[in-house]
Amino acid sequence: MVAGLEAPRVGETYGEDALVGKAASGDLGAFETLYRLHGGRILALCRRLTGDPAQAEDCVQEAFVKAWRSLSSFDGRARFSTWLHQIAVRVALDDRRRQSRRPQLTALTVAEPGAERSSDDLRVELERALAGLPEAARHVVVLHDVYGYEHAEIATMTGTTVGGSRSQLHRARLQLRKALEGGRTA
Amino acid sequence: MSCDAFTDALSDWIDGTLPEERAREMREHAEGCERCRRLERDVRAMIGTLGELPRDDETRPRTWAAIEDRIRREGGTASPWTRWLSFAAVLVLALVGGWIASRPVRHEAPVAGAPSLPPALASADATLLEARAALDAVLAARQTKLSPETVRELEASLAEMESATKKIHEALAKDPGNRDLQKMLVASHRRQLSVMRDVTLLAATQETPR
Repeated sequence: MVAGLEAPRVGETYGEDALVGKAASGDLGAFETLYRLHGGRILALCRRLTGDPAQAEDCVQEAFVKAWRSLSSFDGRARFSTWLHQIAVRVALDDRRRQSRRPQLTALTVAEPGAERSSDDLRVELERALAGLPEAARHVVVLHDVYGYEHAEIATMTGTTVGGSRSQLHRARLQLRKALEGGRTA
Repeated sequence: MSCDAFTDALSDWIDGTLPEERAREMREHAEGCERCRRLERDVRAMIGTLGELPRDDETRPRTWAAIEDRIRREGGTASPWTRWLSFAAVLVLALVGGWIASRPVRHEAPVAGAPSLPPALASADATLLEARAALDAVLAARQTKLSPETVRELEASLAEMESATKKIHEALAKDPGNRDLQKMLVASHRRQLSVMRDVTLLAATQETPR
């Protein structure tokens, strides 16, 4: 189970099992309900991994279409949200189209020396900084620090090694911190 | 410990993967170096905030419309019973096609007054027609509720099976006493009957898709 995923809402788990069963039988209406339950989370994941809102939309669509096609292979051992999450991660990481696009780099707010940021400000700036990271760095930070994947899982998903994932995470964190500091040397 | 060494080991220290001795060195260095202490504080705060970022974005209405459109256009996973029906149609076709291909080509015209099908086979034909009528009735009642794609797949598969049966009938008309052909027709009938009865039951109990 991926750490950091929210606990199911009351009644969601049992009702969801029925929805998944119906969807697996071809009930598109049941699948739409599953989309309503999980689409927002998958969109957030795709947005952070791709660093681009338009690509994130494509990623969500592709993930749900793949999930529809693969429903017969969902055996229920993991939660549906976990299974869907992993499909979305693979789609986002495999997306070849992002190679023709650059991540949207937005100007960061340069903090006044010594000024305190509110937590909301920090979240906004952090989201912007994430979107501005190089692709490989962004992937590992999002997967590890936002969604709680372990390095072994990240290495498998990204085709690297555990050591490579650790090193990449460390460099990414320093880059993020540098971005948040407005370019001041760490 | 140098500041560079501290920086290099920072993530491992924060993530708790350093050996205790090394972790102690990191703590001692941070206590004595303001720059590195600030670095540690900033990175820890950043990691904490990353872990608290909202998990949900607001989806757009058009996203589901696009997903639904792709699923309907590309087919994706057909419902299990239509896939099964397609497989059954292929199986019947393969059986008939393989048998017919293995026979020498006959060009004799049907003999006037040739004997009709044995009573058992004629009865099987009638049973098959009844089963098809039952399925048609169920489909007619639920046609507007099943997706057009599902109905198309279903009817195409049934048409394939009926075409295969027709070929056997045509061969039997020229050679009515042929026991192999009669056995083939019986096997084809049984298969079609079984499939149509199961599909009828499934179609009658299938919940209305949106």
